[in-house]
Amino acid sequence: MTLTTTMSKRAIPIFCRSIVCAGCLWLAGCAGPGMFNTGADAPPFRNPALSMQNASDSIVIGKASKAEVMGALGAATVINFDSGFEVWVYRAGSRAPAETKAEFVILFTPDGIVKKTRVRPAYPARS
Amino acid sequence: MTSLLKKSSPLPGIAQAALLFAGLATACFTTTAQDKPAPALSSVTIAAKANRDPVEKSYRKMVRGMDLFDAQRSVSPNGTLRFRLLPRRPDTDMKNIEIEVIGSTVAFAVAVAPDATFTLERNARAFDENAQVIPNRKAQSMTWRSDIRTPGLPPGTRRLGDLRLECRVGMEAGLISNSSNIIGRMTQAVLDTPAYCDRKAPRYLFFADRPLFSVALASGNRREVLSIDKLYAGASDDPGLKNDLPYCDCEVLVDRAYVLPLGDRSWPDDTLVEFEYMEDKKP
Repeated sequence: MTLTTTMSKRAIPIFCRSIVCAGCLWLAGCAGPGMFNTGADAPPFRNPALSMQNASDSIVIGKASKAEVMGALGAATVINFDSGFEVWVYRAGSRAPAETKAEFVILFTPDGIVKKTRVRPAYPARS
Repeated sequence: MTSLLKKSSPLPGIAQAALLFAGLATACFTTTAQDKPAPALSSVTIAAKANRDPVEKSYRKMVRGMDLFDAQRSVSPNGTLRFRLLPRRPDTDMKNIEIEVIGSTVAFAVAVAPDATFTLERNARAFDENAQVIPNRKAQSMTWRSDIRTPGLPPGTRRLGDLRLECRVGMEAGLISNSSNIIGRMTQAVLDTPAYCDRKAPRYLFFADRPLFSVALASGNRREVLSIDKLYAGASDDPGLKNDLPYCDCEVLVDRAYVLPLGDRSWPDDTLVEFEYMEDKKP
């Protein structure tokens, strides 16, 4: 079994544009500090007001498809396995250490239907 | 994924001319060389080790791993030590594996259980002769781990102290062989010590019995779920993992792989490591 970390086809041009935008922001940051609030974290979901628990509650296990989840929550970090199973991850606090981030994780069957979900709460950082 | 790089730009004129000249010169030389009869060349023997990263392991090192297990029993007072073989290729046949310990004057067979685990008997001659532990499988087809389990734990759990000792024994016994390039081997020489396991977040890969969905640590009232980067060999944060997999002994075990905060002493040895699998076991 091998594994690839992928983005959806739709996400590739977005990714490219993001790199260009990130470069522009970086240059802009050099030109004039304070012009942009670069310290803000991107929200994990398409709807910024959605909490991890709300997201979890909105997904029907055994019924929801990948397209429906994408439509409801937006793009995720996708880990796919040769077994056909796929894990989607939504993480809060993109600038925070991984251990401290809250996560919403979805497991899809090879048929593309949600099999399991789980919410990992944010834990305080330990020195 | 679609390449994001443009095709390389055409060579400048001077470079093209130089290439043309070099090509013509080579063609002339080749023609001249073919006109003359080739002189008889003396034969050359090229010797090379056919197996630079063999599947076999050092008996002496594995016994030293057993010694370390005995010396550090307090970490796993009721645990038993076995060694485990795991597949490294999709087509590796893990059934009916045979293992032999072979030295210069001593050889004996090792009984392998159906779950591909085994124990090693202590043999002074095999130790002195630096014997090898050799399964009947091709190099790079399997990987090895120590396996320390305390009996009587709840289903779907392991004990953190057992896993801490697994790491140390695995390092002492020289069971991990991830890298094939020379830099990797040099790095590994530094990391392959039991002390590596006492780091707060060592990247020592454990493999669960089945594909994982979640791993949590539980001790008393405290329970924490591991973040996703601790699962699947860090796939969530490593888009280049697919290219690295041939150098990882996790190649066909990624969905079972996890790492633990072994050196984080706020988790005592009695901490339970709880597994939730992708597929629940059918009753």
